[in-house]
Amino acid sequence: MKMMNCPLNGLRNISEFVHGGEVKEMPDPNSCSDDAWAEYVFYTENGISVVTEWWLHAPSGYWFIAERHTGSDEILKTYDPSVLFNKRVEFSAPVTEGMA
Amino acid sequence: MSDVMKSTITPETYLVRSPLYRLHKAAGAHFDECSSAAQVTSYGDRSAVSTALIDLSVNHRFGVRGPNALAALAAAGLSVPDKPNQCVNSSNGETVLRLSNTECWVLGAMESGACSADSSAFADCYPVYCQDSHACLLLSGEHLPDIMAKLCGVDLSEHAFPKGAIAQTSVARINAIISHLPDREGTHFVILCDSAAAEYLWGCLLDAMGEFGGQAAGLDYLF
Repeated sequence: MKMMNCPLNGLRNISEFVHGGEVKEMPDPNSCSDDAWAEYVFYTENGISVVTEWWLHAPSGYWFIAERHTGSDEILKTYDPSVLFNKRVEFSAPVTEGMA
Repeated sequence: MSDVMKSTITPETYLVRSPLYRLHKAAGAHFDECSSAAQVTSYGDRSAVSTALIDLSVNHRFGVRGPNALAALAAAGLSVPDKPNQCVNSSNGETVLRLSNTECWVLGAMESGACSADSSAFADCYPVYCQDSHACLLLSGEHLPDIMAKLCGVDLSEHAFPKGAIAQTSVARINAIISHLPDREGTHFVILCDSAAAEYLWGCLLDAMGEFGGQAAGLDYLF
């Protein structure tokens, strides 16, 4: 069976993992265009290259990041998300008319 | 507790029940009160059994998660493992399982089934309600790595999975947390699985144990 190295749990069968989509930079939802938001939410690159993706190790509920080549399906690197995300993302609702 | 009282204890006497209580009743198990619930004490005479499967689901357990979790548990007097996927016993008999960098579960002392606190006592942490979400099974005795090798892809032999180690992996195709209990004579694996899948895993483990002479048992097997 194909194996993947979980940064928390070590080498495990690929059947223990769930794919979570590409890691993409989120545009500011309050100021970006509809096209830019649709691009972020619905579209993926789908080219032949090395992609950076979210993966879940389901038995431990642990999300991490993997770099994978979409042509060979080789997993090149896996690491904890704190490498890319080191502070909490806060959301603020846009000010609308009628609100104080 | 008197023998007369013991004979009247059934799981339905209590609001807290194991997800496996119907199986235990149907198999003719004997119960006694433990942690305000009915705990299986025996399945008849199992003194000669080399490997036993014991349901500890009614024992108390709780979890805490978040950046303050480890420090909060330590401040409450519990021992906390240095690294993820390790477990240690605290002086009061509770076992602390460190499941990630910022999450720990605490299992109540095996004999009394009680925890000294619960997650509501840790205000700065996110609570993890693993009491009802998970079932807790204890596999105890001989041939445990061989039994688990039939169900699980991770090597659980003594050299790869020593006392105090934890493996979070797939067992019989369902997610489970396997802890090799430290500081106890003999080999004991605590297996935590989704409570909705407990009957399935109970059957799988008994089936895997069969060729090694393993059987279901109660707390009397341990004490």
